[in-house]
Order: sequence, then C-alpha cells, then structure tokens
Amino acid sequence: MVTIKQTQLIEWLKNITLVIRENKDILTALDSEIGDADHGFNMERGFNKVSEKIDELSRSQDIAMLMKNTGMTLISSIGGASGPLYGTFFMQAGAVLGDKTEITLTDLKNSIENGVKGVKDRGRASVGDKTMIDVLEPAVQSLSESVGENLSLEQALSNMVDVAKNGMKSTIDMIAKKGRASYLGERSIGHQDAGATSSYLILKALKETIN
Amino acid sequence: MVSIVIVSHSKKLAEGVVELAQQMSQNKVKIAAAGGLDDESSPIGTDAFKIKEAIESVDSEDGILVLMDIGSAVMNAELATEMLPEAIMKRVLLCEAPLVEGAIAAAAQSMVGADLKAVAKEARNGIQGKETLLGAPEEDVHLDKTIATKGREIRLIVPNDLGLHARPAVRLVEITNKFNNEVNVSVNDKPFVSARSISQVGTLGAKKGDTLIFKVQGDDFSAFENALKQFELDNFGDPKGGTIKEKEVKEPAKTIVNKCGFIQGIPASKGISIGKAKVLKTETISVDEEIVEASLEELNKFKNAVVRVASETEEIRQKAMGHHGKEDAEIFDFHLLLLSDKEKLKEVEQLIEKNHFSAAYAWFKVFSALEAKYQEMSDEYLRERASDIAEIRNKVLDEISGAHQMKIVLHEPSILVVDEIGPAQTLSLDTDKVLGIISKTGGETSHATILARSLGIPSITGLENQIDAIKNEDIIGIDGSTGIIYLEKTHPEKINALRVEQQAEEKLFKERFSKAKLPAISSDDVEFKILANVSSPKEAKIAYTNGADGIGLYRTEFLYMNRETPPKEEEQYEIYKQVCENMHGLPVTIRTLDVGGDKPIPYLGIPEESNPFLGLRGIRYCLQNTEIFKTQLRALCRISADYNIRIMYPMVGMLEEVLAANTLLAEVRYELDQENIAYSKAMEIGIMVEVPSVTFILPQLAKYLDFLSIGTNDLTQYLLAMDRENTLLSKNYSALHPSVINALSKIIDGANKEGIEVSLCGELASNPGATALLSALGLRKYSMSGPVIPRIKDAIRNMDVSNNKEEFKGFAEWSTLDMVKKAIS
Ligand SMILES: Nc1ncnc2c1ncn2[C@@H]1O[C@H](COP(=O)(O)OP(=O)(O)O)[C@@H](O)[C@H]1O
Ligand SMILES: [Mg+2]
Repeated sequence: MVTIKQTQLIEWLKNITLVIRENKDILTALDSEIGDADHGFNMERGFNKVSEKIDELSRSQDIAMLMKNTGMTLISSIGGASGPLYGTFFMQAGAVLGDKTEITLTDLKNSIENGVKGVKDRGRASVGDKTMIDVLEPAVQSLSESVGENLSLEQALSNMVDVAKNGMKSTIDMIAKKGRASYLGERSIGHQDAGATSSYLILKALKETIN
Repeated sequence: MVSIVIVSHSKKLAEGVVELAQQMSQNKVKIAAAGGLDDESSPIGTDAFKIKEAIESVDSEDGILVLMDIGSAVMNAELATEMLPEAIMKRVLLCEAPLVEGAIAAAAQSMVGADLKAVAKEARNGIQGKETLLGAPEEDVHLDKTIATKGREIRLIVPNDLGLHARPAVRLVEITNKFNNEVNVSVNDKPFVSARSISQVGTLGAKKGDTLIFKVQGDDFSAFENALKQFELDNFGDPKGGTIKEKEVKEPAKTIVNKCGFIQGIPASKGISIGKAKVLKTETISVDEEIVEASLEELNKFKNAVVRVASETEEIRQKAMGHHGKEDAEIFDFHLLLLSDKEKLKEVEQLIEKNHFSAAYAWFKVFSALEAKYQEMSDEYLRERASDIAEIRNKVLDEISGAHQMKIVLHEPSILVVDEIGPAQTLSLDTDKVLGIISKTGGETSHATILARSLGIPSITGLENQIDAIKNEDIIGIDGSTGIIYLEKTHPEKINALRVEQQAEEKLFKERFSKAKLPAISSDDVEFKILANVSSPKEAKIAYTNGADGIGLYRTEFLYMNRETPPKEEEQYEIYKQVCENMHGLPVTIRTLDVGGDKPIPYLGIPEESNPFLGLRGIRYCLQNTEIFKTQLRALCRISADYNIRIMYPMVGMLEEVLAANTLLAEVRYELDQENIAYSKAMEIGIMVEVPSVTFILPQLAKYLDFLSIGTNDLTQYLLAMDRENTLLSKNYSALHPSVINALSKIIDGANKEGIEVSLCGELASNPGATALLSALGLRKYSMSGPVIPRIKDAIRNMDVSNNKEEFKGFAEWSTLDMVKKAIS
C-alpha cells in the first residue's frame, strides 16, 4: 500500500474513539496521580462527540476538511488542556494537505509534523517537559527518517509507534514543566504522563487502522 | 471603554469575578464571563467557543482585555482569539494579570476611560493592594552578611548621652568617607553594615556605652583609627557634661492658635467628626508600581530630582546656619547624606534598570522601606528620624512626579490633613475611611470643597499655618459647620462634648432622612422642589437616596478630566444614562461642558490665559470647538429619547451665545433625523445665570429659553470681582452680600414676569437661613448637594412663606454683609 485514503482516516477516528473508551480509566488514573483526574473523561467526551458526528464528518470534501472539522469538534468538547492541544493538532494536520483525498507517507509526515508544530506553538512545551510532546515529537522524527530512507508506509507506521511508546515511557522519569503536573515539581517524577499516553494511543490506532 | 472577558474553568468563579468587577465599575464597563463547560456531569473546564462568543458579545472599539485562570484557559483563550474576525482579533489583549485582583483593577481603570494598555497595566498591578497589606517578600539585597567580618578591628565605646543619633552618625560617615578603606560596623551583635552609608549606620541604634565594632580593610587603617579616636574624645561632637537638650528638629512654623486654644478654619462641609489625624505629608502618600520600559529616561528623571532636592536642601542648610547657628543647620547634613547615600541610590537605580520600575516607584519603595526600619528603632530619637526620611522621600517624589498627583490611601478611618486637595483626589477617596478633610488652602466654594459636601464628608479649609499645630496621629475633633478644630490632648472635654453633639446630630439626621423622599411643602402649603447638584452617577445615587426631586445641575466636565482625549459619544451616552437610571425617572438637568477657569483640561488646548476666569470658559469654549460640543449634544439628544432630561449652557453672557448654541443643537437634531436616530423634540433648554450681564437682558433671553438656573458661586465672584479661590479674600467672598441678594431678587422677578422657570443651584441653596430669604424673594426651586437635602426639606416644612415675606420685606435696604447674615440667622 502506498497511500492512505480518506475513508481509512475516518476509520482511524472511529478506532481512536474505541481505544480511548477502553483506556479511559487508565488515562484518568494516570491523570489522577499528577493531575486532576479528568484526562480520561476529557478524551472520551471529545471522541464521543467525534463518533456522534462521524457521518457528518465523513461528508467532508477532503482530508483537510475532515481533520479541521475533527479538530473543531475536539476543541468544543474536551474541556481540559488537551482540548485546544488535540484540536490544534488535527486542524493544523489538515492545513497542509490542500484538497487531497488520499495521502502518501510524505504527506502523512508533513501533516503530522505540522499538527505537532501547532501543539508546540499552543502549549509552548518541548521534549522533556513531560507532556504529549514527548510522544509526538519523536514520532515526527521517526516519520521523517522513514521518508528519507524510503521505507514502506507499514514499516514507517510501525517504527513510529515503537518510538512513540518509548517516548511515552520516558515521561515516567521526568519532572513536569508544563500543564497541571508542573505544580507538583519533583513529586511528578515516577508517574507516566496522561497526555503522552493518549497521544501514544492515537498514533497506535493509526498504525492498527492502516496496517 | 475597554471591555473585559473573564475566562475560568469554573462557571461560578467566572460569574463571581464578573460580579465583583461590575460592582467596581458600577456596571459601566462591559464584562463577560466565559466559564466552565456546558456539560452538567462535568462542568469544570474551558471552551474556546464560549470564550470567542464572550469576546464578541462585549466587543468594543477601545479594546477587549481577557483575563484567565490556568492551563487550558490560557490555551483556549489564544485559540478563541485566533478564531475571531481579524478586526476584532486586533483589539483583544490576553493579559497574564491575576484573575480576581486583575479584573477588579481593570474594571476600575476602564471605567475612567483609560486605553487598553493602561487597563492591562492596572490589571497587572492589581496584586499590589494585597502586597502592601500582607507585605511582599523582601529580598534584602544590601544586608549582605558575608561582607562584614573580614579586616582589622577597631572598637569604640559610644561616649555621648544621646548615643549615635543623627548628627554623630553623619559625622561618622563623613569620617569614614575621608579615608580609602572598606569599613563595616556593627553593635550588639547586629549584622555588619557599611559605615559609608548613612541609612545603614543610622539603623544601628547604638546607645551610650555600647561598643561599636569596626572591620576595616584598606590602606588608610591607622589614619582612620586616629580619626575615630579623636571623634570619641570629642564626645561624638556633642557637648560634654550631659546638659544638651535635643532640639525639635523641624521647628514648626509659629502657629496662630486663637485665644481659646482651638483652631478656627473656614467651615466647608458640615458634620462632626472625631478621629485620628492623618497628615498627608508622611505615610499616607503611596506610589503604585509602574513598569516603564524607557529606563534611561527614568534614571535621568531620578538623578535630576535628587540633585535638585540636594541643592535645595543645601540652600536651606546655609540659611539655617545664618539664622540659627551650626547646631540647627547640622540636621540638614543628615538630609544631604541621605541624598548622597551611594548604597541607597544604587538600590534605586537597580530597581529602575533591572526591574524597569518607574523612577517614582523605585525611589518610593527603597525609601519607604528605610522609613519603616527607622520607625521600628527602639531609640526614640532615631525613631523620630523616620519623619526626616519621609520628608526627603516626598521631596524627591515631588520633584519626580509632583506629589499632588499621588493618590491618597488611608488604612484606617481617619481625618485627612492636607495642604491642598484636588477635586479628582477628593472623588477618589474611600468614603468609608475618610472621616473628614482639613486643608491649609482652599475656600468655601473651591471644587474639592463642593465635592466633599456632596460626598457628605465633613470638611474645614483655609487653615493656613495653623495646620502645623496638628500632628500626625493626634486625636482631633472637627465641626464642619463652625470650622472649629479641637485637639484631644489640649481639649479632652471639648472632644467629649463634640461626641455628644455628634450623636444628637446623627439622631436628627436619621429622623430627617426618613422623611427625605416626601415633598417639601411649607406650613402655608407652598410646594418647593429640592433638586441635587451632582458630577457622577455615584453622586446621583446618593442624591436619590437623600430624597432629591431631580437633578438640578449635573456637571459634565468631570467626564472630561484626568484623561488624554475627550469622551466619545457612546461613553457619554452610557454615563448620562447611568445618572438618569440612578434617578429613576426624575428630571435631570445636564449642564454642557463647562471648562476653563479653575478646571483646566490639557488636551482641550486652552491657551495659557492671564485671566482664565474671564477667558475661554464654558459656552465660549464650546462655540469655538464645535466638534467636542456637538458630540456632547448628540449624546444628550439621544438620551432625551428615553429619559427626562433638560440641557443647560454655562457661562452665557449674551444672547448671541444662546442663538449660536441653539443653531448647533438644531444641526445635531437634523443629523439625527437623517440617520433615523430618536431624540425628544420637547427637551427643554436653559442657561446658567452667572455672568452678571444677563440680568439686564432677561426678556430678550426668555424668548429662546425654557428655564434659568442661578449659579450663585460664579455670579458672586463676577458681581463682586472676587476670585472665589483666593483664600485672602474668602472672608468677604459671600453670596449674602446685599448686592448679590438684590441681583437675585431682580433675576427671580424678571423670570417670573417673563413666565420662565427659575431655580438656584449655587452653594447658597444649602444654607437654611438663605432658603427662607429666597422663598420670600419668590424662588421655589433649589438645587444643592445631595446629603444636604433632608435638612433643607425639613427646614422648608417648618417655615411659613408669607411670614418670611413679612420678615424680609425690607431686604432691599440692607447695606452690609453683616446685616444680611444677622437677618437670616
Ligand atoms: N502546555 C502543554 N503543552 C503540551 N501538552 C500539555 C500542556 N499542558 C498539558 N499538556 C498535556 O495535557 C495533559 C492533560 O490533559 P487534561 O487532563 O485533559 O487537561 P487538564 O490538565 O486541563 O486537566 C497532560 O498530561 C499533558 O500531556
Ligand atoms: Mg487533567
């Protein structure tokens, strides 16, 4: 397979909803240790809305619109910090795709790269701050490398998810510098970041949908 | 006005903050809440769309300030801003100020018409009130404990009776500075301080017999040691034998306290108050934190101010030397050393450069801290030096920014003692804390006085140098109706008597107040209308609760003061509306802009005049600056569509002015017609009668007018050719002069003959004796400051107009002011 079709991305969104529902309690538990115990609810509320509106979303004229509408839906429904962050992620991810209805690995990389740039601009976090960026940034890195090495889409996605998983685990030893957990300072060490976990789940859902 | 949006995770919090802020702005500022999520099961969170809507709902050309709590609130606010149409986006400012404090400060600032930047700045400063209450964390940069203990030691036992007080401290610093050493000094195990710094040496508080320990590093050790030994032998410069009496440092100017031992001023605003005196010169002055990017400029400002104050002080020192000899002059050495204290100056400079504080604030911060340190000293003599520090602090502040611009902050209920107080300062006072105002200069009709009256603050003015007899923290009793001030320390029995009187007054006040809203009808059934003079919605509210039958004079010029540009039509509309709302449908007479004279407004560009009271004042200005005037007329016409208002031109001296003003009004109405904007064609037009010339052309004027309102303050000033602000004349400046009374009679008769309504809105209206006289002259409508109304209504109910006519029938023959006063008392 060399491209991802719009319909597959719609499947991806549905799958995200499923994994988020499955992992809701885990996300909330993670957030309860160093946050305010709502990340699971927030994400579920956001993606429930996405799945409620999935028919409408499916009618988007191209992938850019699909992403943008998804982003808007998340912004208006998540509520916590992850709302504007994931909202921005999807909106920005769509913004570089023109009127494409099917995308290559390079498109995917450009798209996710721009999405992550949006998240960084919004939250002003960087790698090491114990946030979703610790998953998203290495993921973009990995996609870039895969493009450079001309890897297959499947291989690229699978590498990306491996790197993302490491990123997620790396947050355990970090001191939170952004988000609510940053109020805890050193006490945040030893806990995995909730947002990093949900980011990992989202990327993993992408791989599982496509491969 | 700048609008405000409050973003919070919690709906309740956001709404609560809006409520608090609105209370501050009296609902004049548009403030919207964007709090929480519309999800009942988990309502906590923020919603970018909600924020966007909130911003749009309060969109204002002057800008929108957004304050938010944490985390997603910030990100969603940014997101919301990005989603706005570009035109709106450009005027949105996301501000990092603390939510609650910031909102309240911003609302207050916006209400006075500040621009977006200024409102944001005020919001950031919002935290300061709390800081001053609780004390901000002090980083004490200069008591570096490690500096001290190195170097060779010299010990010195304090030989003189008074210890290391100001004069010897000054000497000691001088001696130290003569030599090329690093010297630190300590006593009684206190941390070492630099012996080159007067502020620090002063704080040691060394007493007779204490051992001063010096640590000296440098080449001039022995020379310095010898100089110190000599200093010790000289008994630290004090006479030996312990007979010296420390003189009061600042000999107060000779006070003229009259024979009976109390202080007599000019009664300015009625009421009895007993409380602590707060002399404004010292600790009541406060400077707000201000960040200024142009540090270099501030630095220069600061340095120049210090140089100027130093040379001034040097001059005074020389004089003191000539008049009183060396000992008196030496105290100014302490002042001079403070002004050249490198440590302190550097501290100020650093605050300006590193923290970008304004010169005024940096200086204020450093010297207030120093003052506080002195106040805590155990030695009484040193403690008193705190006032020297305050004096120097204020002198420099005055040079930097002009002390009169500083706002007055009272921390407990007190009677304010000031040299002079401005109208804006008066208006900004916390009426719960100000028990009274006594001032050195000012007269019965200066604007600050008039405002004090309408705020119901007892006030005495024109004290001149008697004011020096009142010391900070003295308990004093003041009677605003007689102008008498008693000090508790000299007249405890009088203070008690005042207390009793105060209670009686309060009781009477309550009685009258309960009947205030009833009409004022004399015992022979003549009905009077008692209206209020106001300058703001706040005063209108006070007037309404005091039973005003309407507003007889709404002075709009305050809307134009203390700002950089004239108020826009919309802002005027909102404020006028607020005043009308506060009067609940009662008629409101609004006076168009009355500038000039003693009410200068820089941006109006009125040139320096050699005779401002006879210059471009009131309607004369408006007719030459039609744009400003028409903006106001437009706002007024629009108000007339929904509210019962009348407009009144000030300072009219000739018919031509009325005609020209009416032409402009007609133009405004025509434009409104074109735009399909509603106004009332029936709105009445009148003039102030204050320029004497109009007395002679009443029939001609009456054809074009619906009413006349006599402004006795200015009429008196112009009739008697007496500046009402001139304290030297204030004993004779009175609206009760026979000439004024006769002029009033002529105006009232003339108006009645022409069938045109006449009322009186000067201060004379609030004198019950005068009410009786004026009723005899045929006047039925009076306008005065709100708090006086219950008393005047009461007086009217107890009088008989036909009796008054009989009693005062010989008024035309009265020949002197004394005769009139006697007749009406
Ligand atoms: N400034 C930021 N930049 C990037 N990610 C952030 C930032 N702030 C928070 N996050 C992520 O959001 C997660 C928390 O999301 P959520 O619980 O929905 O929001 P909230 O903290 O408002 O309750 C954190 O675990 C972290 O990964
Ligand atoms: Mg959370």
